[in-house]
Amino acid sequence: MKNLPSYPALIAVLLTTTLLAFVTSILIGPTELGFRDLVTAIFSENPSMTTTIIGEIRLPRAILGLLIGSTLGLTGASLQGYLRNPLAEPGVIGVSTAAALGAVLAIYTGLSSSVPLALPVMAIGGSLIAVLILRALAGSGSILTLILAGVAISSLGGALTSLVLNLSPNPFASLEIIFWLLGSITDRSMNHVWLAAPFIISGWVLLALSARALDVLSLGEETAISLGINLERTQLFIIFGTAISVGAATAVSGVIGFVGLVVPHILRPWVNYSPSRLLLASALGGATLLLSADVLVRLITPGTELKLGVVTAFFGAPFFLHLILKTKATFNT
Amino acid sequence: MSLKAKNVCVFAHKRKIIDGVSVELERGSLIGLIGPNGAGKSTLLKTLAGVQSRATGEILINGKLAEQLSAEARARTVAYLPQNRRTEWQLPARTLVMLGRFPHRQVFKAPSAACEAAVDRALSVVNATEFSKRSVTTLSQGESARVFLARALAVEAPFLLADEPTADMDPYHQIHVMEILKNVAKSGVGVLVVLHDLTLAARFMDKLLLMKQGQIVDSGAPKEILTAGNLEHVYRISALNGKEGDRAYIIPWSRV
Amino acid sequence: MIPMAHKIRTIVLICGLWITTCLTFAAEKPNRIVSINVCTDHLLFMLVDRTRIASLTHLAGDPHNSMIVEEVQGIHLNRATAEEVIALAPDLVVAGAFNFSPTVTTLRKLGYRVKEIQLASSLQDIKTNLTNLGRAVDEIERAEALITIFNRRLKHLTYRSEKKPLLFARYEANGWTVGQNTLIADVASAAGFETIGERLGFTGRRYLSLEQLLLLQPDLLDLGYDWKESPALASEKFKHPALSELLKNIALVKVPNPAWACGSPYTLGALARLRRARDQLDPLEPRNTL
Repeated sequence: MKNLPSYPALIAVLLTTTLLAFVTSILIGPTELGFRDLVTAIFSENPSMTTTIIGEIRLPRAILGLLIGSTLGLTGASLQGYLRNPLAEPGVIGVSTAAALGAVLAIYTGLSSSVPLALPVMAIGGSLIAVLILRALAGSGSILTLILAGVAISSLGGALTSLVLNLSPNPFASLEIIFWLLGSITDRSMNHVWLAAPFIISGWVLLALSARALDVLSLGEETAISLGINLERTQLFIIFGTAISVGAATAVSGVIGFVGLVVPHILRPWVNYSPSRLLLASALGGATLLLSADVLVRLITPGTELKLGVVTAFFGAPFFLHLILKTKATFNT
Repeated sequence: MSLKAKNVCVFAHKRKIIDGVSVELERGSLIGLIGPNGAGKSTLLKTLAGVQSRATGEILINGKLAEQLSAEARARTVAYLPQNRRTEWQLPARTLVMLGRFPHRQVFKAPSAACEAAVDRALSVVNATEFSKRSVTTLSQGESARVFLARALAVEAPFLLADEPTADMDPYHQIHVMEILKNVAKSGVGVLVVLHDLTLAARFMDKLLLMKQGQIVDSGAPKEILTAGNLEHVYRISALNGKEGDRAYIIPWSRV
Repeated sequence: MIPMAHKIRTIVLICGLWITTCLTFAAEKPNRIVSINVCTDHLLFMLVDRTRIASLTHLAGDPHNSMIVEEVQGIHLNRATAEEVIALAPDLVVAGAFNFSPTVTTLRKLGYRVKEIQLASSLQDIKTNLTNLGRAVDEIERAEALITIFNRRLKHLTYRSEKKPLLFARYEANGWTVGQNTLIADVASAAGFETIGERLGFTGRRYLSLEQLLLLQPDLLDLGYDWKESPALASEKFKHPALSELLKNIALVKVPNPAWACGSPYTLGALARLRRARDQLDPLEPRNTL
């Protein structure tokens, strides 16, 4: 690519888009709120209903959009770098669905009402099991095996989630499957933010620490080892980093797919194909994308909100097909 | 600087792939590791490079056990070029070569001037400077092979281990790569190359190590190794020996 | 030519047959009645003697859906499948009227008498249903008596004043609220409230975001049942800080779910609660209350 912007310039642009999307997310909603209301709410001493709306409904929603979008973009880029495969992302390989199963078990058995931390922890447990199964199955990185394993895990996770929800005596449980399998950050609260954020950020740290290794891994595992990479440690960081951040994110939002697939793919040429630089760029790109999708969800159907996962699947699924067709040649190797 | 393997054994799939091999690499020489398929050549190379798990025995670098060195120190001493030379991402050639400087670089810092210079040198040795800005996936077989070799050279390690660097190449590029390796050896690097092509081996190598069924059965100058007896016994072939002026050559001819 | 005697005999025979048939049908009071809808369960239970009821639905024994849990002890409870109904050998089946009911279609095809009762979406509907069902089970007088009591009590509970109706919101799990043309709306209006539907202008049930609820500032809120023993995401909303903020300033009413679910005389219990809440929010002068 000629005339690429420099890396710092790209990051600056992405930071700007993220910030814009964040502010827009706070300003858009079923009730009219302008920029003035936002400023007044932040600086005024008297709590009014507007302050409550912004502080307890809009703000947690925007923060979660930021945290979860970044997580999806980041883990997508990280998994693709680690597996040396552009089709990898937590949704496709079933990690998100397994996390949803863990979360559902925590909530519908009543565990998370008595122990709130059970929610993110069990979700993380679910995603960890999925990643470990994938590692065992996918072995030497055959694309086909990996995707098939992901499909299997996803299907099983989805089926078990439906089972748990159907068995619940609560009359609303079986309808809530739509939330878990399509994802949403509507009407979440700051409680959810505090519950998920520490885990999400810990996961980010682990993934950031393995960034350099991703560059060298693009030459293959043997070359990477010969250049001084500790492969076991890198694998551990990536596995745990992905499981922890995706697990906690899914615990509060349900499964949101395709963000981790689309964002790294679009941004890769802009970072000159460097896997390590792609991490930060994808995190910001993912945040921008998810926040924008969340705004769209409130604009398209203001009465009954469309689920977030529907919007991301809408552009993500065709994109996935396009990617498969493009890499069709390499399936034969 | 010395690189030594002492009594190395490698077990895999219930077989002994390498059976008690001891070998020493000298600096400044181009050594060929030859033998039939399944003899264990690639495995021995990987063991010396430190990427082979399940190996017993000792690898000594300057008399010290290789495990006791830090990963970076070991990486700076032994450069490895595996058979699989493919990358998923459309990295520019220069960026790929720069990856060879990984053991020398600081975390999260831009490449130093020394690194840039090393990359320049490596690229010019393999004659790849003119297409160094192009992405690797757009290069031809020969061009990309040279770029991967440059990556290994950029490490500027005292030892270079290359696994079939001339595989899948046309004669022009095969000869080109062998000439590059010869020059690298001349400049003081200890180069160990796994090779199938006996003609090239005879022509370019200073020394040959002949492997069969996990053991080194013979070692010495090409003339001494590529005897009819060895060829029949190890490869089950016979070869034609010829001379044109003062250029001697050997061509595997028929099965025995 | 048929002789005169023959003609007269035939006429008498036909008349006799006809009268007997009428009498037979007139005397045919259904005595093995099966109800396959929880709302018709309630109506049926009030209209006929226990001995004439062969079975009610299992929801009649579920405290979340039934006002007559203790009373139906000892009555056979069914799960509304055609198989079970056939095994009970009923002479009348009472069902709720839905557009698509394979069970009812099957039972009709097999020759069973099925009486379908519309689900009540207003207080008037309750009275209509009592009349219709009363006729079907041959308890017309009892139905009329129940309606009289219903009317009297309704008159007593209805809020009469020139004052503006206050805003009542039923905010169920996952944000569902009711609007115009629903039973809840009718009851609320009798108690001196208007629902979100009147305020925003929609009918039926609809999703309302938490934000909108906060901005509308209802005077009275009904949050539905908190399923503490079997939680779901729906229970989470009770913990939302924004809702806690809202609850600091407004009144909460707890109406048992079964009182809202079915239109029956028990619905007046819900009306009573709302009326009590209205009086507490905005007491009426005494002369208006009867």
